[in-house]
Amino acid sequence: MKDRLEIFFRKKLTEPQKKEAWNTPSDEIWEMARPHFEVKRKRRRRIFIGLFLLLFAGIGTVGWLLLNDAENPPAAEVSKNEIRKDIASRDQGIKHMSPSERGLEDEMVMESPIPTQPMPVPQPAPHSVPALKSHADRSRPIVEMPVFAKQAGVAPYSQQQQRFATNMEERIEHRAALKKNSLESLPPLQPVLEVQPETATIAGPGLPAVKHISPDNRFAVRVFNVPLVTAFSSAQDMNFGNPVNVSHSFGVGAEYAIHKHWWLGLGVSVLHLNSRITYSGSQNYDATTEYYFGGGMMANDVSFQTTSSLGERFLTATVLRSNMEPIPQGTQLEARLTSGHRLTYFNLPVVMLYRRNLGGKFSVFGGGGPGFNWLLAERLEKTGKVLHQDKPMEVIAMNASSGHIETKNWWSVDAKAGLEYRFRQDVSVYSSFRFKYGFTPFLSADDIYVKYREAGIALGLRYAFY
Amino acid sequence: MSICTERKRKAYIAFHRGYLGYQQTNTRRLEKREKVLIKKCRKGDAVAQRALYLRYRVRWYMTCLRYAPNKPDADDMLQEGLINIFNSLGQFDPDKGSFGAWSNRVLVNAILQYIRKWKRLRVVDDLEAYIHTLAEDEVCFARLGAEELTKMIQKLPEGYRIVFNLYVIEGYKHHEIAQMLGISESTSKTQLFKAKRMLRMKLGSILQQ
Repeated sequence: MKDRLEIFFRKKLTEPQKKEAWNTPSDEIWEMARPHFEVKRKRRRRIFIGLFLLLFAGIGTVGWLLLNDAENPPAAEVSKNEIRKDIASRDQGIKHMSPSERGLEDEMVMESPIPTQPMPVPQPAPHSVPALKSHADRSRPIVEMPVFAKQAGVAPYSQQQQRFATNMEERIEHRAALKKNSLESLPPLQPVLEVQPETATIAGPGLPAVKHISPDNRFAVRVFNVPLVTAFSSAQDMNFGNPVNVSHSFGVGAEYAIHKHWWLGLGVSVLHLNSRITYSGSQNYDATTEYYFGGGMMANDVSFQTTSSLGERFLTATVLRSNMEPIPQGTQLEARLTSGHRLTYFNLPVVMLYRRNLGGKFSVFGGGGPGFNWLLAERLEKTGKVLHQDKPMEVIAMNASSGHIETKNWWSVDAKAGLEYRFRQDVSVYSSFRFKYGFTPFLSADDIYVKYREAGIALGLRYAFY
Repeated sequence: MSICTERKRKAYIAFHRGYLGYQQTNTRRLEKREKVLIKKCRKGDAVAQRALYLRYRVRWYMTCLRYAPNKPDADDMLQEGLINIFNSLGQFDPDKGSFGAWSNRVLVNAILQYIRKWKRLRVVDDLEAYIHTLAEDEVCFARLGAEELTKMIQKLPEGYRIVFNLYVIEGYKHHEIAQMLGISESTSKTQLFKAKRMLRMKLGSILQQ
């Protein structure tokens, strides 16, 4: 309830005032303040435009690639019966023989349509001039499959480097595995010729691997966990104690192959930052700041301060004495105050990665990209004690001032490089070195730009939709 | 148009609008103009920024004078406050309240930030040490206007002054003040009590009349 004094002052001081000399600021103040917010706007706008252009360029590239894929839709699902019919139609008149039937134990039958024209029947020669006989007129024995294949211009089996399916079932399986291409477009004699182990996705029977990037196997998802060591820094001196900052990041991400080696990734992660600072120092006791606390206790707001390096947070300790015995003015007090500051951010990074297979199960990758960090939560922990002549004094929890956090929202740039090991066809584990550089693109109330640096080893699991 | 016709026309308008209605229309027009100014300020229009400053400078400066012990400090506080106000204009939501109230809150925060940055807020209990500072200036009793009252508040010790301003003028609660200043709630109450006691000592006789 307001008393008369309060009402009087409030009424007098809040009613509109006429412009007079005493209550009108000089123009100098305006002239000094104005450049501050003008410069800031321009700088911020430039940074935002740059980052958005980068983001739009990335989105545009992905969109363009997706549209290109949409123009060449994947073939419809082909049943094994259809494959069987197709193979039968291509193999008209050709008897499939097993290698043992043909006496070629180590050879295999070509999986391909072989010329189906009727076999030439030997005719008696009209002339008896062997030298003038045409090639077609020459008598020849009834040939078996290998020779027939030779006539079709196919190299002998023994000289062929590629090996193909030996029977109908295997051929059907093989075709079914290659169903992403339509049967019409499937090369008749060369089901697979280009082999690149690093992008290998489909391994048919007898085939090492097939280079095949399609919309179905361009995606990968990953889960990562990054323990890091971090540091915030700013132009403002924050040498209150020794900060030990530890951070931890956990998140998920998705990647999309925009090229053979290039992957565009988008991640979502939660970043925890912990700063723990211990202040140890002494101060002369100021008796004039002492006041009666209640319950026979004297209190004193001792102005020891700790400041978290994660932002501006001043912590002061309030000392309570249960006895009324006065402490002489100027007595030295020893204080050990520890303040913990924990910030939780929502992190949204966009990365461009270059991934290259080393020939086996190992791949190397590297890349980076921009990100944005939103403050989700903040928690302060305060412990400490104040000693008077080696005797601990009772200290109530320190009070934190509600000054703004320098690092509320900030931009960041990630750079990473690492090694990936594929222990299954589609699952791999990776480890990478990650460096994150963060910054606030605008001046804080204290005219400082806050910078953030962290370095750590990321451990992750990656699943690719092969 | 004859004088008679003109008078009739004015009377007709006054009758149909009503004096109050006319005033409301005028207030709405001013608010609309202010919204346009703020929109232009957000785009960085220097003329609009200047216009907005001229509109509110007396109010803002008076707030600074109440928190500062002297004029140079008030000037510095206003400068910090202006930077904060114009840089955070994007956060102002006209649906949640008036610009005047919002800007005053931002300004008070900037003032507290300033005090925290340059000075250490000292919560003072030793009343007698400061009594003589008030006794020196007896002129303030001659005419109790806003200027004199502001000067009286300026003469209060820093802790008293800030708690008094936050509680009495800005209307914050004790637990909010405690959180803002990093002091305990009981300290805030004590500081207010003592500030009022100091002021009452000087004003007591006048208020009782």
